[in-house]
Amino acid sequence: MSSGPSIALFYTVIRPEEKWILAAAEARGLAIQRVWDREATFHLEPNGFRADLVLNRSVSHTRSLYALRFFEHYGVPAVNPYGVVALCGDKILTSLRLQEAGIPTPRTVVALTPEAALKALDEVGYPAVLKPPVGSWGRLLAKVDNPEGAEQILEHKTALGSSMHSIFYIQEYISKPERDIRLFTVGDDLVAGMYRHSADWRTNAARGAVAEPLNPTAEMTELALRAAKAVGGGVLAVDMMESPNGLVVHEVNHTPEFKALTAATGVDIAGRIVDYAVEVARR
Amino acid sequence: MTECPECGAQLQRNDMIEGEIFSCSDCGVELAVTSTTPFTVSPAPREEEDWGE
Repeated sequence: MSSGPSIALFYTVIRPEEKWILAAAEARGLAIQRVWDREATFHLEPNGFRADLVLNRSVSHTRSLYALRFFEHYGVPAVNPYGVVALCGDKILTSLRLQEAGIPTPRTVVALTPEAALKALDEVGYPAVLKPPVGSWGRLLAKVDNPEGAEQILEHKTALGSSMHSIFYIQEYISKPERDIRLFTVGDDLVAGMYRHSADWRTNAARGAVAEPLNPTAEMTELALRAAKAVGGGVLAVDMMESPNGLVVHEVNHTPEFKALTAATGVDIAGRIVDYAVEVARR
Repeated sequence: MTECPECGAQLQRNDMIEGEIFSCSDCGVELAVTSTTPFTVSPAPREEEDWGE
């Protein structure tokens, strides 16, 4: 017999994170249904779908966006909601929001054509970093060292042909220690943090970065919570770098992985997520 | 029981659920559970352009 709100887990694949979430829900006596994004269909009417809250763990930004908009349409709250996912899943929108909130973030220029991208790279200065506006895990990021390299990369991006690679998000290259900082926020709390060490300039766990637990400083905590609030709050991973001029936030992840962070810190992040989901469902 | 599509090893369902990613204990290829009843698996889905966190 369930003793709390019913939760729907919307997912693409079941990784350790999703298993831990399911186990945490079960341990709390919650009814949890699994909604697989590869099989789900969405009618304009709810069509029998019932849940008190949707916990989104889909790894597909596009599937998440449409599904979350449908759940919102059905009147079912989500963690994280559509608006947060729409914003955090797009690096351009995230940068705009961070800047609007006065949060230090790397200098960023957006160009809408390859020709303008060359100009933008000149404006940012070399080396610079070129990123697809949507995408994650450090995929298809390029460090551009000079105009010759830029022309080649832009030619390749144009050849890829997708609209994702026709908009150019260009950021100053931050000279940082061989690590960045990931801080995990749930609601109003910072629940865990780690350094991600890598000799590669991309410090994603998906690219083999090594996790080391960190005790966030007051400045890190304040910055992470401000960044999380700026994008709408929820379950978020705020990524920041130690630039020569201080901390800069470069990303806020809306469906964060936490396997490495759990292993490094021992914090029961899945439990914190489920507790937060219950809290949101009861609002 | 089902077979690994890569090496033919016999795979047990254990307590796995649909969508779960696991490695074949014989050949190490990454697999995904496509159905639990009957138990079927396929190579794990390739990550798509908009996948991430």
